[in-house]
Amino acid sequence: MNEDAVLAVESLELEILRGRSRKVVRNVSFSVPRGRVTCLVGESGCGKSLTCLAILGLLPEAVRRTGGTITIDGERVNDLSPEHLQALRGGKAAMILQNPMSCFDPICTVKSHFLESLAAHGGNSGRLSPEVMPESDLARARRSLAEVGFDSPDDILDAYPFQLSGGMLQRVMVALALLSEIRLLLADEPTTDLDVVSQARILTLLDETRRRHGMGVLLVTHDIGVVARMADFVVVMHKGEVVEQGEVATLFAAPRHAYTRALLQAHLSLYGLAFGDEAVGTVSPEPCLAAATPGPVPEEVRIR
Amino acid sequence: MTLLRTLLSGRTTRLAFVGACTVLLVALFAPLLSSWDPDDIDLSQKLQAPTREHLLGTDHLGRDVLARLLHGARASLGSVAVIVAAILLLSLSVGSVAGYAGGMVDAFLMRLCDTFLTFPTFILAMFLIGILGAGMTNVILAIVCTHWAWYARIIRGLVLSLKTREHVLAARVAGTGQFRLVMRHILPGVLPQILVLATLDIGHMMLHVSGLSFLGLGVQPPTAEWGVMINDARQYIWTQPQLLFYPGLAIFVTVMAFNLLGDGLRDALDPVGETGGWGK
Repeated sequence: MNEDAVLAVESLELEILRGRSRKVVRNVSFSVPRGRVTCLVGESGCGKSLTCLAILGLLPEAVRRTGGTITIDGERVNDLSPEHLQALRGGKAAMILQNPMSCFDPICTVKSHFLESLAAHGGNSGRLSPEVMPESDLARARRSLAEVGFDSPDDILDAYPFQLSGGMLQRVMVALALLSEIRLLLADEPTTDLDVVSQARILTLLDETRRRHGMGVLLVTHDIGVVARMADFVVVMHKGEVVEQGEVATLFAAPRHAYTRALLQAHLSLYGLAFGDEAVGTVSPEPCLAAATPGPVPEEVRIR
Repeated sequence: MTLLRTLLSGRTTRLAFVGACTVLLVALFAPLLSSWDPDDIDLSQKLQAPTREHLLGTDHLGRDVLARLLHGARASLGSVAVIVAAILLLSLSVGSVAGYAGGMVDAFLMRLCDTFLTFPTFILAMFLIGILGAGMTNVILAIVCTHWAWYARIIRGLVLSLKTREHVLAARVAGTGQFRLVMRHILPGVLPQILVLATLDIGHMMLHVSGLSFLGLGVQPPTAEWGVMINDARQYIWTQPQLLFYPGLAIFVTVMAFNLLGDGLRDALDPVGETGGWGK
């Protein structure tokens, strides 16, 4: 394990128990260094999201971890009691989920969501209702919302989730994650459900947040353009196994595994480019980034 | 308030709401609405036609029919309220625990439900009354025993569906504890649907209580209860049919009001329903 790793996954094995049990994640090992972005890529169903859930001990009932160790900031998740694990979630490690519209309880205001997170992690809110949120907690919530770019946090706090756009909700989710001094941020396809303008904004926000707080980010995606823009390291998963991993420039320049090459080729072909073309070059992530990244967001379409 | 406005926007539901509220108010203020004691026997006044003194006449023991009808609402609605409260308490506890915990706990609790579901209400009521004796308490016990398991199964299904929703996962990711998770994110999703079901079932329960009282297994004479009143009047069906008609009408109106109110509540709570919910 890399000594500076905030997350280390060693030989992780996950098994589905329903019907004939089968291994869905096999011998997966990788690490996320402090202050860096590691991208976990692969096609849908290859086990990326299950790996993320296993890291936080939130596997669905039908899936069981049958082997391997997970260490977050020096704490072995395997050995933690349910209470410690609960404290770790949102305390040391947070996760941003794929679909922001369904990640918020529709009958609770944003303030209720903040109150709940604060109650779980050292706030003074306890069992109070959102109407009587203590001023110290309210200040933390406002500060966190301001940090993710909201000009009027009070309006956001009073809003119901259905009154906000997907991009705004995704930013609220980042703000919720930033309530504690987290060391690890897991982002499970955080831009999949968003339009390109919101995508660009969220990726910038994640990058800025990572720099400011020095946390490690595990970014799960199947968008090679996002990988090219964000990643320091890339882990490629295929059919439940890690087939290749390394620094982003090295991996994009000389992919060794056929699946990694196919993944890059599939992405470039969307833009009429071919992997290995002299015109494109194969030495850096630039062609992938250029092909997929939207341009700067014009001022008039920027959201609050 | 939005929900209440949507609920009362339909004419039928508005009528049902007024009917149900009237019955509830009558049950609450029965002693104030009639100066007669419902159990006061006066054989010299028996089987009288409606007069200024006895607006609906008297029964075979000379008791005021209106007073018995008004006080009967208390027995009928009171027993149903106890039954519904007991069923909800039991089924919400069992259903939530089974759905949330899953695994062996779920399997055990669901087999327990299956056992209770095998008893027909009337058979179990007769069995309990045979052992414990006739009376309202045993009727309530029998109805609760035969109905809570239906509710528990439905609640378990709803909890199973809700606990896999992304907002529940997001709350777990944020470090929310299990108790808070159930109380704040799962039960609020279950309650509206269960309340609709309970409202629809109030009429059904009332028929059970009245039916068992009619058979002499429930409320015991001389206590005023609509089923008991029908039973008392059945020998006068040809000579004094109004004695059956009044309590029969009271049962009919109350059951109909709560059924229609339940229908209205279901439509009002359905945000995508064709009948126009509060989400529209």
